[in-house]
Amino acid sequence: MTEIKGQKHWGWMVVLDLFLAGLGAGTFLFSFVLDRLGECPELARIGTLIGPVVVLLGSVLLLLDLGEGGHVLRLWFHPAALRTSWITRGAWLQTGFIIFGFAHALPRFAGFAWLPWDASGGLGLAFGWAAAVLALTVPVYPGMVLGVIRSIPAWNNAALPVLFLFAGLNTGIAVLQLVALGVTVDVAGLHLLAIAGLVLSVLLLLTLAAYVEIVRHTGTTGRASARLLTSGVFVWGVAVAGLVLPIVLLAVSLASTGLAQVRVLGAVSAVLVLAGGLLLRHAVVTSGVRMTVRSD
Amino acid sequence: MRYGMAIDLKKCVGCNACTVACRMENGTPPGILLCQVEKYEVGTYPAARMDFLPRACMHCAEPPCLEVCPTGATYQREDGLVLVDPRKCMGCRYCVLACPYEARHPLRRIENYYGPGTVTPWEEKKHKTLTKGTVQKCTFCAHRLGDGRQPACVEVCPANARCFGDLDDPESDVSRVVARQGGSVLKAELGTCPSVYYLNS
Ligand code: SF4
Ligand code: SF4
Repeated sequence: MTEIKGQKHWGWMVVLDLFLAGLGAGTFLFSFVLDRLGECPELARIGTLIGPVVVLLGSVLLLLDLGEGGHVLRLWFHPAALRTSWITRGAWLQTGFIIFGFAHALPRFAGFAWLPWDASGGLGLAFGWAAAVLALTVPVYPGMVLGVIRSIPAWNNAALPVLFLFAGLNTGIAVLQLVALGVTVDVAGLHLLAIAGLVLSVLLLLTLAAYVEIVRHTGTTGRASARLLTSGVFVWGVAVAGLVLPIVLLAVSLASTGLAQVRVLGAVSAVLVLAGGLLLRHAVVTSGVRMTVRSD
Repeated sequence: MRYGMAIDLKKCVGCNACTVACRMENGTPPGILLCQVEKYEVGTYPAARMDFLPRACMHCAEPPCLEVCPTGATYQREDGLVLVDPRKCMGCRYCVLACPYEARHPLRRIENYYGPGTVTPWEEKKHKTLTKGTVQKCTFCAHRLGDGRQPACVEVCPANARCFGDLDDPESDVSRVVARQGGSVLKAELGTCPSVYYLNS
């Protein structure tokens, strides 16, 4: 029997970009929501800046890995590819998010008071809404990049963009729970994050189960991918430690009213969610088994 | 005009002359075979036998590699050839993953066949035509077609298993042989519409 191998053309750099894109967009989105609700203003202020910074970092890593010399610039200067290529679409979506995200966040930070708009004024808020809408697309597009590849059945799967959306948003909440350790927050705000994290973790767990089940039933190549996907790291790292345990921790934190306890439970859950999120992207990317040329 | 090829699997003896001719013609470094012959076993002992599948780029009429390319480096000519412009390719390898026929190869390094420092005169000449960091693929020997010559793999085949020509011309040898023998394409279900037909498969 021949050994099953996932594709080897895309590796850790792509994994990191998928992870950071979702994480940054999720962080921005929930910070913006907190800000709009008037909850934990300091956390929201910092989160709106972390979002575009992290997405920018992920994009730089990706371009270093995927781009050769100055040809990378063609991602932005060859708009005809927007009609068909999800990498080009993703580059434009991420760039838009980064620009609008910074434009919304920066006026609230020292050194940027010279900007002629403020975050909560008409223009600043418009930038915020634009970035928030784009933040919903940034975690989804990597699922489309992989999803349109017909020669890898495990990726050519409609559950993947949904999976990446939930995973991205979930890690965004985790970042805010970690930042909450060092800034002034209140229990009500943290409980809001915990509820969102809890709902997303449950949705993610369900989508993940559906994804694996669909992959398992997508021909022999799909079955091979499912075998690579559901290794011990996946079951214990992604599903149990990265989702089930956080669900329990967040449920306990919701029953508690002590700020210190809610903070710590949120932070522990956040570390697990972040590790699980990274492992999930790694598992999906590396378990992409190509169809053999002769048959499937 | 649409260039295409028919490969008769009954005639192919798996000698790899096409593989070698392609390497020579294109000066591809070790590890990169733009044309290769897949060997596989059919049947079970004692009635098992080896079969051969010569393959390269299928110059698909609906190429997924072209669809995903973010820079416009991959393009399709009027005559159906799917090519890569190395001046535009950023080496992202998206097309490599998207091609269902494993016909694209990232050129990460340009190595010499006999190791560092032992470049042959032929390699010296041919390596000038390669661009590191881009993607390589079969071009149906586009550089020879202009001179009215056949692709190197077609010309060299000692079993005469390959037939090349214009699929849009019903009078061409390739169209006739496909019409007569009813050629099939690989992975027709993916809708890529390959221009390489297999006979007696
Ligand atoms: S065989 Fe692969 S590289 Fe060639 S045209 Fe089809 S998809 Fe593109
Ligand atoms: S590697 Fe080059 S040809 Fe292939 S998709 Fe990327 S830019 Fe296009």
